[in-house]
Amino acid sequence: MLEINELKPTSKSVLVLGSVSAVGRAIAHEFAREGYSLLLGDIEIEENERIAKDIRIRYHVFCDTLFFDASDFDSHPVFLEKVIEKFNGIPEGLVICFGYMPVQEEAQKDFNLIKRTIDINFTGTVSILERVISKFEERNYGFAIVISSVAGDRGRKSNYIYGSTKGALTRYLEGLQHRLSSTKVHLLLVKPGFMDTAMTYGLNLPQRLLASPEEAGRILYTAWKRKKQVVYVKWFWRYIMLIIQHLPRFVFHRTQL
Amino acid sequence: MIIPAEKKKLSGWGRYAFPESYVFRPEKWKSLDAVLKDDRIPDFLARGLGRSYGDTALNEGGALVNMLRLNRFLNWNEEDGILECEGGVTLKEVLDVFLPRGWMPYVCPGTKFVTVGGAIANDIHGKNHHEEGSFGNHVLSFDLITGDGSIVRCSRNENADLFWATIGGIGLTGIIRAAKIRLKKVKTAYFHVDYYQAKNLDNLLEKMREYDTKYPYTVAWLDCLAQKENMGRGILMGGCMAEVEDLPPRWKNSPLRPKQKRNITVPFDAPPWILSQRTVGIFNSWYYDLNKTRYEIVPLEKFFFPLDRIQEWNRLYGKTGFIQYQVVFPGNEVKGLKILLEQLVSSQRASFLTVLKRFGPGNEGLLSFPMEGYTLALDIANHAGLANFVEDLNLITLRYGGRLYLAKDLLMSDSMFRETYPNWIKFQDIKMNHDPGLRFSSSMARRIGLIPERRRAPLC
Repeated sequence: MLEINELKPTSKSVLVLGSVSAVGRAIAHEFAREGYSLLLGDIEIEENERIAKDIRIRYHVFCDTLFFDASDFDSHPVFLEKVIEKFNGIPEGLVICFGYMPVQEEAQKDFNLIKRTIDINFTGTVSILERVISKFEERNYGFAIVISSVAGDRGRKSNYIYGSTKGALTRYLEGLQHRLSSTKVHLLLVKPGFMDTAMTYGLNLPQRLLASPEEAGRILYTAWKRKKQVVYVKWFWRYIMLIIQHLPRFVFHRTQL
Repeated sequence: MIIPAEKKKLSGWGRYAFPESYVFRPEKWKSLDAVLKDDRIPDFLARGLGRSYGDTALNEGGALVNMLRLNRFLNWNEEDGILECEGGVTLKEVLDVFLPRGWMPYVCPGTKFVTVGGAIANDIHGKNHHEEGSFGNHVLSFDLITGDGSIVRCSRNENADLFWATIGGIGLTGIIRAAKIRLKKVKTAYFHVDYYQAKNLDNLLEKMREYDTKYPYTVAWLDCLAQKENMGRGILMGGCMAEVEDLPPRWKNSPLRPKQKRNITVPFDAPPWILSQRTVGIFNSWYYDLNKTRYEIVPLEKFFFPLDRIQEWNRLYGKTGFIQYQVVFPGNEVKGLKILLEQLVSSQRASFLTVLKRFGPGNEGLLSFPMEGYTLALDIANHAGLANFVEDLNLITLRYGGRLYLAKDLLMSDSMFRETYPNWIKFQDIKMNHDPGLRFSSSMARRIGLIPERRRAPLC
C-alpha cells in the first residue's frame, strides 16, 4: 500500500531541496496538501525517505526522494537529470530550504567552517538554482521559492559569517528577480527571522519572535500563491530589520546584536 | 555530535509545580540517538503533549525528550487498518488524516491532544473500556530505545516482558520510537448519544449497568456538590457509531467530514474565584438541568473531546493549579465509591469535572491502571488543606482495595503505590534488566519509589 510506484507524478510538481529541515518538511506538506507531486532532495537519505512516506500516507500524492548534496557542485548536473527522469520532465517549481549555520565563535577560528557555510548557503544554492532557472526561463514558466535570511540584511558581529552568505544570496536573488521580471517565471525571496527549528533550538530566543515551521510553511505558501517577490517570516521582521539597517554606525557599534 | 538542550521549567497539566529540567527536541532518529548518548545528563524521560496531570512526564534535574517533532506516519495498511507511526504522532493527527477515510483510534481519551507514545506509556482508556479495553490492547508492537541505546522490538510474542512493562510503564523502560497500532473502521464521524438525567447515585449506577450492555461507549458526569437525597446525581451518556442512513440530510453528503468548530483559548491564569465553590455550583446545576434525558446525533469529536474546544483550560484553575484524583475500585462493590463521594460532597470542595465510568477487565500491563470496577475522576483545586484532604481520600481508596491512576497522581506515597500496584516488583526487575544504569527515570518514579534515587548529581 502506498508504495512509490502506485502513485504517478503529475505536471503539478515541485522539487524541494533540504526537505529534512523542519521548514523544508513543512513547505512540502503545504504543496502535498494542494495535490502537488513532490520530489524531496536531501543529504540525509533515511530521514528523507521517512518524510516522503509520511507525505504519501497523509496526502496520497506522488512523493519520491533523491540524494542531494548542496556542496557537491559537480554532482548537480547529474542530479538534475535524475530529477527530470523521476518527474518525466522539468518540475513546475523548486523550493530551496537547505542551509548551514555554524557557531559564530567557532567559525571565526576555523576557515573550514566558513568555507562550508559559503559552499552550502551561497555557492550550492547558486549552482543548482541557476541551472533550474534557465530551464524554467526556456519554457517561460515555473517558480522558485528560496530561503535567504534576515541575517543577510546587515552584518552583525554575533552572526556575520552566516549572515554574509545569506546577504550575498539575497543580492544574487534580487538580480535574478530582475532578470526574470520580463518572463513568466516567479521567484519568491524568503527572509525568515527566528524560526523554531533545530538550527535555533537551545539559543533561548524570545518565544514571541519565533515562527513555528508549520506557520512558516503556511506563510511561504500564501506568499507564493499571491505572487509576492519578497516575504518576511514573520511579517514584523521587515520593520525590525528596517530599524537595524538604518541605525547610524556609531549607535550600531555599541549594540551587542 | 552534541545536540543542544533548553533549560526549562515545565509542569504537568495540573500546573501544580514547575521543576526545572533540560529539554531536548530531536527532529531525526540520528539526533535522538545522539541525545541519549549525552553522558552529561543523569537520566532521560520522553515527553509528548504534557497532558498527564501530575509529575508523570517530569524529570526534575534530568532531561526530557520532547517527541513532538518525531511525528511521522511510517506505514499504513488499509486492508487491516494497521498504522505504524512514530511516538510523537498525536491522536489529533491520526483523526485528521484517517477519520475522513473511515478510521479512528480504538481508544480515545477525553482529549485528542495526546501522543501515541504517551497513550502507550500511560495505557490510556476511554468511554469504551468496558467493551474494548485500554490503548495497550490495540497496540501490536513498538520499537523501544532502551538504556544501552539499542532498539528492541516488543510485541506479545517478542520481548513480551518488556512489552507489558512498557504499556502503562510511564516511560521508564525507554523511548517509544515507533509503534504499530490497530485503527477502528467507522462509517461516519458521528455518534448516537443517549443522555439520561439521573437523580442520585443509585439511580445512576442502576442505569449505567443497563447502558453498559446497550452501548459500546458510556460515561457519566456527576454533580459533586449535590447533597443528601440528590447525592451523586448526574448525566449518564451512552454512545454508539452512527450509520450514514441515520444522519440528517445536511450531513449525509460528507458523513466522515463534520464541520470543525472554532476553538477558544483561555488567555491568562484565571483569578481564584473563577472556579470557586459558588461558580462551580452554579455551573453544575445549570449543566444538570440543561441535560435532560434525551437522544441526539453529534459529531464524534463533540462526544469524545468536549474540553478540547477550550485550549489551555487548565489555566482556569489559576496560578496555583490543581490536581486530579482518579481512583478505581475493583469488582461490583460500590461502597468505597459512595464513601469517597460522600467525603467529597461533605468537604464541599467543588470539582468542576467529576466523571464516573465502569471499567471492563484490565490487561497484562504491569503498571496499567484499569481493572474491572468503577472508576471516579475528580479535579481538586490547589487550595489550603489539599494534602490533608487527599490523605483522607487515600484512606478510603486503600480500605476498599482501590488504586490511583499514575497519569493523574501527584501526591501518592511510595507505600501506597507498592500496596496498590503489587506488580511493581516484577516491573522493577524488568526495568533493571534492560536499564541497569538507570538512563530512564522520572520525578514520579523517584517519588513513588519505583526507581531508586539518582546516583549522580542532578543537572539543575
